[in-house]
Amino acid sequence: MNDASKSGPSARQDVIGGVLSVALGVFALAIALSYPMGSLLRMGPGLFPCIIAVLIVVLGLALIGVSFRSRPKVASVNIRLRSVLTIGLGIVLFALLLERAGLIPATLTLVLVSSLAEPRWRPQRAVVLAIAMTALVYVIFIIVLQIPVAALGL
Amino acid sequence: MGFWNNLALGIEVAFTTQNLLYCFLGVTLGNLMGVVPGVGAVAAVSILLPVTYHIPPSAGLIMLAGLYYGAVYGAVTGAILLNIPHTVSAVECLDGYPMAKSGRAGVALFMTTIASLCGSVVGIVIIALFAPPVAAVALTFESPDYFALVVLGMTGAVALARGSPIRSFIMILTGMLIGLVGMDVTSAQPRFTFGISQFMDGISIGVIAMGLFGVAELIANAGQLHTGTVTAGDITWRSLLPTRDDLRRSWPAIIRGTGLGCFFGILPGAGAVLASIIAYTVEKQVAADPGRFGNGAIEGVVAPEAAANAACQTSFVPMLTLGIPTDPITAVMLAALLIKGISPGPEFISAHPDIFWGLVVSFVVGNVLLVIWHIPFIRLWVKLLTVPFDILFPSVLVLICLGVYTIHNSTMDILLVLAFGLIGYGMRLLQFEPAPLLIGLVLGPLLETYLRRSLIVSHGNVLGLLERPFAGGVLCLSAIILAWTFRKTAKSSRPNPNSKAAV
Repeated sequence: MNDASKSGPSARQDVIGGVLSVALGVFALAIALSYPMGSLLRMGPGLFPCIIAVLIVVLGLALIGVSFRSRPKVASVNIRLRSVLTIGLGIVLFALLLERAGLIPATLTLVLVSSLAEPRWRPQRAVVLAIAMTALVYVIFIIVLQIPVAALGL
Repeated sequence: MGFWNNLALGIEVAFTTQNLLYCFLGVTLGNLMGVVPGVGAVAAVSILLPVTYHIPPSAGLIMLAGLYYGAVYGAVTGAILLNIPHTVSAVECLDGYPMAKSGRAGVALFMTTIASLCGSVVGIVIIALFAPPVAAVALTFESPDYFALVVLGMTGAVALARGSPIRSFIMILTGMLIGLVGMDVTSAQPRFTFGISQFMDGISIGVIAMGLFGVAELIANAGQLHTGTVTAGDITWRSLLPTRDDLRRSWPAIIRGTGLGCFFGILPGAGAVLASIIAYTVEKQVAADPGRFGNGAIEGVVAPEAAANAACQTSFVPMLTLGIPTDPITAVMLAALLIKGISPGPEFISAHPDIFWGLVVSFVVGNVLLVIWHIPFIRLWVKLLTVPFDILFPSVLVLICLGVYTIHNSTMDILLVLAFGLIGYGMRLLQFEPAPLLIGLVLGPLLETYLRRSLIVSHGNVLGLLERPFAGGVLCLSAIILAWTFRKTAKSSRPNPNSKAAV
């Protein structure tokens, strides 16, 4: 199931994680330095973010530092590109359609597009599910909760 | 006397039609999402978080709490019958699934329900007895004390989290950084808003939790989880009955599990997962014949289950009395209360006795409901396990997207939930745990506020924080825990303390 979490992180995962942490810390520090620091008596809005950013950089370096000890050097990580793309596209389309075209087209699109994440996609099943889900959210969100979205807009 | 009056008040609140309904809704949906593979308790709580914006705070809290312990109850079903390791029930697979394979699934399910009830009831008694005195003591606390307690909470989350402490520390700090997004309350300075007006109020915890736990989990599991056939065959009434030997072995294990769970639930950062792992390890150590473990030892199923449920209840103590959440789920609940204008803390119980005692009584109601739900309807839950994941994940995705939208009626939040989903998926690939991030997100702003106030009190002297005996003591304790944690990982060749327990 979660194949990756069985063993500890690999050396490569440590290095990538460490580099990303350092990058995040440096990025945050660069922004936070532009805020007033204040004094210890009256902490300005910049002081606390700077402390955190510096700590992230330090810990990111530490993670790179300990990476040589990690047991597997390279773990086989399986990136589910298909899921990322279909689910991602589904959500983006949903966000674009919801206020422009209404709840019904947005929900139909989201279910149909995201169901493609399943490698053995069965069109009939997806269509039935899309219609059923749309009916369900129509009842919950339009009739019961009355969210300010048209069911079918222009 | 006061206690009985409070209890009466709690009964009055918990037994209103509305609250009974939300309690029922919470435990049922929680059980459902717990049983169904691929949706965790945190995702369940965050998906229903937007609903709490539209209902009174006590009803909302009762519902979210019901979701939490309902999911813990439900998760064990999948672990026993299909060997699906849920976050809260990973260790129950080790002996529960072998029990199911040898045709004893019914006994395992029945005994875990009893163990859950036992753990929960003791946990509830602990909340009722200890939360008010803890709150009374906490009334004397000043900013430095709170600062120290938040630091202790962070330290606990680092020390007890799964995986390496460096990684969980990075996650907590990242959470704090995200928590800073928005306008600084003291100086009115916008921070990390990148000129986007929606960011001025900060990023809602619901969006972050649903992204990191909901969307990320769906991306990781879509096209992956295929529901197998239930091994147990048919679960008959007769098969539920434990033998005398089962009972003899289970009672002490349930009691030990409950005790461990109550203790670890209160500790910051520990929560139900760690409690169940420790309970399993302890059972293996005290057993006369440890060889039975892994082959269907009933102690290995009931003790972790009792511990998880007890911990799930007692984790409410620090959240409600100090306003310091100890795990991601109580962090989300804290956020739900804050949105309602209620800040949990030492005054919470005396200012809102109806909410507190109503919640406590609702725990009892919810647990009884769960037992009623679980045992007679056990075949229904087993059926649910066979709902194919390719039907489940698009449906959950729709609920997440619409749920997020209803927080602020903003499509921006839908795109943000995707962004956090992708971040969460990336974190998964790099083996970063998202749970500490959520804790940091809630603790970060508290930490900054208390630090700022403490420094004003101590006239800008950092060492002044150590002058109050309580604050100084807690800070020293935190330093010792932190030093010990990093030393331990520096010594061990494998930086994963829990991998031993999980083997």
